[in-house]
Amino acid sequence: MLRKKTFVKRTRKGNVIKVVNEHYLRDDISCSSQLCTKCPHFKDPVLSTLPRSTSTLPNHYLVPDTNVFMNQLDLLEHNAIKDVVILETVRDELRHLSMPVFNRLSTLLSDTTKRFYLFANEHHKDTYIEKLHGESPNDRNDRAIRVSAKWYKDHFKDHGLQIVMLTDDRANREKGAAIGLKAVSVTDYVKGFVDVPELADIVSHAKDANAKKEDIMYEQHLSPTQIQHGIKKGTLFQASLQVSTHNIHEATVSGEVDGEARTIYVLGRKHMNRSIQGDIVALQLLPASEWKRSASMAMEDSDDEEAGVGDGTDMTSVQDGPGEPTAKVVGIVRKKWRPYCGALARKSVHSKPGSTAKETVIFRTMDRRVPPIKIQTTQAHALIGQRIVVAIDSWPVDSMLPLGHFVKVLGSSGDRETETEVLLLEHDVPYQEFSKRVLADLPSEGDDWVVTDQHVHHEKRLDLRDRNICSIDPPGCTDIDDALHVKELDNGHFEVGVHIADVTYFVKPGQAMDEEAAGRGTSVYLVDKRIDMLPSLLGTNLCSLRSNVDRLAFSCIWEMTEEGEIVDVKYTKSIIQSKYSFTYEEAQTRIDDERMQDDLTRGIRRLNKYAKRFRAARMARGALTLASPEVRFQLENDSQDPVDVEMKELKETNALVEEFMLLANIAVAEKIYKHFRNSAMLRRHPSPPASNFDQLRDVLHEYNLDLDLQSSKSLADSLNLACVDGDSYFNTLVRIMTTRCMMQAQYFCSGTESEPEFRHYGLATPIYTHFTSPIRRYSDVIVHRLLQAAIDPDAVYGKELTDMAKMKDQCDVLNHRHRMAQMAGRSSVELYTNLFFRGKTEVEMGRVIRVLKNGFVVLVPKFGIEGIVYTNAHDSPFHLEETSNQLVANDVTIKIFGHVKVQITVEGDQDGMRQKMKMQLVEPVVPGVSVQPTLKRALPESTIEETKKAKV
Amino acid sequence: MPAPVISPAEKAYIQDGVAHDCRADGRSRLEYRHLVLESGLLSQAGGSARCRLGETDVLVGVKVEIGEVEPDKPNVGRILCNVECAPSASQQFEGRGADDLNNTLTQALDRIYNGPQGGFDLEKLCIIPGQSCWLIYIDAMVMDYAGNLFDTIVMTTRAALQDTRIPKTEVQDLGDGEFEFDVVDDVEEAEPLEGWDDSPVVVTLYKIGERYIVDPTMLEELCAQVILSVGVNKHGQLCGTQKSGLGSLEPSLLSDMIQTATQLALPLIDKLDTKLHDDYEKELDKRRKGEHVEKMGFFAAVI
Repeated sequence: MLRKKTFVKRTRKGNVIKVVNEHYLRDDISCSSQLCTKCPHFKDPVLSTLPRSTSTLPNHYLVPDTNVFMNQLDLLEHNAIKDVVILETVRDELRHLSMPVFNRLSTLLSDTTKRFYLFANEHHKDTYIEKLHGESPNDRNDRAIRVSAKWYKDHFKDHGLQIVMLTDDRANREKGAAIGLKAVSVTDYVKGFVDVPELADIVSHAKDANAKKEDIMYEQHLSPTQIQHGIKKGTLFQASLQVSTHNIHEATVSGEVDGEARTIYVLGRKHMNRSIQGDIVALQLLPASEWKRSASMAMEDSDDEEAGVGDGTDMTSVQDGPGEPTAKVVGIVRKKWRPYCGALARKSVHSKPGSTAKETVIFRTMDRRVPPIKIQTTQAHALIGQRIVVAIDSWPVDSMLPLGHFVKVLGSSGDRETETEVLLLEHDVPYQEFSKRVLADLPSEGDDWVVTDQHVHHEKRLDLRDRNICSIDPPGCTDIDDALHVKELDNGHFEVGVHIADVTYFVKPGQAMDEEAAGRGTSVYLVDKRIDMLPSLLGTNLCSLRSNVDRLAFSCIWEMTEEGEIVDVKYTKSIIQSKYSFTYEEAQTRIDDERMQDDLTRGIRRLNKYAKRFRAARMARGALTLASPEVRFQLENDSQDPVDVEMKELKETNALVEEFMLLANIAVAEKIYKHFRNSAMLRRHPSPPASNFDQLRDVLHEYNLDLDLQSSKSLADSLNLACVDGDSYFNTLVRIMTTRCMMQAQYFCSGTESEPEFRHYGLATPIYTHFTSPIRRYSDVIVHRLLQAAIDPDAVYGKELTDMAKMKDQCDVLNHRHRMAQMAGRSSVELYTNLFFRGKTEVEMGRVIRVLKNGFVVLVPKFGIEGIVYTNAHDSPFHLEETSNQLVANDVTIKIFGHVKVQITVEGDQDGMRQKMKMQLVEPVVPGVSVQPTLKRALPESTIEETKKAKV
Repeated sequence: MPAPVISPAEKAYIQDGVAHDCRADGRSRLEYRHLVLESGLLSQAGGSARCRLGETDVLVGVKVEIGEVEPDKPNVGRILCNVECAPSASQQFEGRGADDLNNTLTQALDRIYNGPQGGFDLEKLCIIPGQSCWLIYIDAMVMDYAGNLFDTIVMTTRAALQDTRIPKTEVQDLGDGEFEFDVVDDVEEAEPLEGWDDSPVVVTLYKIGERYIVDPTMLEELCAQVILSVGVNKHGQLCGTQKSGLGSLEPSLLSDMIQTATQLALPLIDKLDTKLHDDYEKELDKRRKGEHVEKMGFFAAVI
């Protein structure tokens, strides 16, 4: 039977078209119940013969309506809910309402243990209904759901099975009851699950009409059309909101002010107007008279639950001087809500222990940039001290905080496994095991795979197995990406080779493994483990350039003069056999040990000589040496508990490998850009805007120092000069702070930027890419493919290498993954730092690196950690001197670069919150702020520099 | 292109018939052939109708689009007409043979609708003054040609306009005198074109010998010396006349013919409107009950 479905669509150009879809009805659609003998079952029936019953309902199949999926998907995903009929009407509605929900529903449907069946009611001749005249589409769909539920009911009337329609719409329930349906609300339904009490918490409270009406706290958002128009006219602009990690009420976006790219502030809850970290928001620039200076306030946790929104100024220092550009959020273009990890705030639980009454509690997210979320729960006491996941349901204008619901428990907080899972979840790192589909793409020989004659003779591979190739890596490294060799040529020149694991031999475009790797983007290195981008068979064995086995490689081979001048460069696929896998230390020992005079050692010495020369040349061009306080943990073998922490140490050999990798990366970048003008994947590092350095330069002026920002060369020079006598760490500190003023380096597609923009500022090279670590970075995999296509005229490659738009999308994904991997790594270090300090109290020297209104940030070089020392917000003896950016209390001044002694402890779980490192001031002594160290160990009293205030 | 020809004997036979008020197919001078009319048969169009008058067969589709207003008329929408004779309709339309006729008919149709006589308030077709308006495209396709083409086209067009629904728009005030609008995607919400029932029908009279007839067949058309098309709306108002043919008219005969045309038009409009109205009510009734509405479409030709 033929029916038609008609609707009006607006085209991109703004015109309208009437779309008519033909719609065919069938008489052979199955109910898919194992009980049923009437329907033709083309596939094995999904719904079981004995679905579960509840205390209030007999055995039944469930037919939920659309809103149940929209609002209560977490409930339906719970294991207790099975045997559910999903109507096509519902699925189609969800597709239009929310893609994420639709995708989750699809996952549910493919999970055979859940027994969810998609009933094609819109195509079934008995359940298809035409829209009545004057009926709204929603009413029509609700009716379609009732008609289908009724059909199921009639279908099973001889089997004694109940059909339960699940809907929170009372009118719908009443209409259902009128035609003899059993219709219940979600809350009532869940009450029947006496054996699974947590279900009651998962029920979300999107529209809680009973909640006490608070005053309207936020401005209404503009409609999408108004936003679009505003952006078109230039009165509004669109940007991604970046919330400060120190203060949840302070955020920045990048935008333009008078045609100049500026960082624009959004200050205060009211101006942030319910937007959350990462949201794409529409903003309106405030008039210059309302511009504020950034608050420089650090928010301590848990002091603001029920405080008023304020007008956004109370958080900020009101002052007359010219402020920074400030804007307010007028609408959210795309919400970036996701499930958040965190814990309940113990203070917000008011019920007596053991109570199972429902109460509203505050959930604090791990991500400091996300506001606390109000949730309702009956198991508040059981959840305290647990890491849980919570999803946001809504953020109405009259609610100070967003409303959400409980999703699941991860484990107890403080537990290392749980915390690691939390940080992986929080940084969106895909950490599941590789699926069977992915593993199926591995070579079938597995560990026994060897290089065969086929590789030697038929693949245009250069046989380099006679060269003295070696690799130099950190100790314990199993995924060896790169190896090196040098060989004297007959003409007195030298052949220098950089050999990179030939990952693309195993990972072909279009494979499941390739897709998985592209999605993961990068391996993630945590303190205690590594989340691989590629299955370990490849990463640590077949691709890894281990010593004394034949391996496939992609080689860059230079001919150089004795002085390191490059005569020629060629790129080729090759077969190599590494003669030795050195650690940095072993290689260093070989270089230093005069007695070693074998070929390999002499080769490393020569490479080292070249590396020094390249490095010097690079420095002369203006490459920056920056610093970051990196630490390494000594882990106890069994428990994996950290027993000691040390700063990472760099050896000459680190620099050796680095130089050659840079050389290879730059050479490859030039090559692929030459062949793929529009679609080469490159990496650039934009020059930082001068305004980023304002604060740092102000502080340096006090030391009669300055940073020259003309070019990276001048910056490098002024960094070299930034020394203070008797303060050896001062220069490192300046470099650390300079690093933070830098922009992020990014992957990009060569067709999307103009050539001058390709520059890598930090490395001072006009073009750069990543070629040398294909085992752990997907960008390198793409670059390998590009290079292969560039050097081999017979290479067959698909559109994936030439499509600019696809390449750009891939770059965006990689940039995101890359950032997240970095942050996950840092969080892991933070986690271990906390574990290390648990139960300890350390007093250490630290340096002030940032001054806030109510505290200051201290970096402790010994542990590479930093933390905020709060100066007692309410009754502080300190006050902030804006002009000099100092905290002053009587005769004590806290200023940037100043020395302080701090006590470091880790606060336990007393508030049910994250474990948090706490720093308190020990010296200089300031009554009311500083503490007496509770430590027994004697302290070296040598280096404390008194920071007495000079007369103003 | 072989022009339609008629032999002197045939001509004499027709002229005699007209003089005796008994035409070749047995009709009297002011009698119409059998009329089949159905609207709403093209679901993809904004509105559509098909009319079969004797063997003459016309299909009209109306398309509504959004366009920009003309700078000198910032607050009116536009109606754009196009008539096309299908090459299959008649032998003479083969190749470029229909071009002249297409142009003539297109212009005639255009004259009817673009002006106050068309019955439509073009200002109502404006969405945002100075910015956007609706464009109503009338596309008439002649499927079969057996005389009295223009009357049939106008009748069909009128029915198609009755069937036309314009998607509902919601105008938003963005402030600063700026407006933007959204289109409601539900076809149920779409609104009928106001003023369609004030649009005229055309009655064309053909003078053969001393007498005139309506609704000629192809052969009768070839005998006509004077052709007078008269547009009349349901209020009996004269909406336009057009004279063609090689012969001339006495003023007294002219006013007599206009009067006759008006008298013929009123019952015709009444019949057409009743038919369209009844069909619409029947359809609504079915849809209220959730029943499926079938259109006869091209099977209507057989009946």
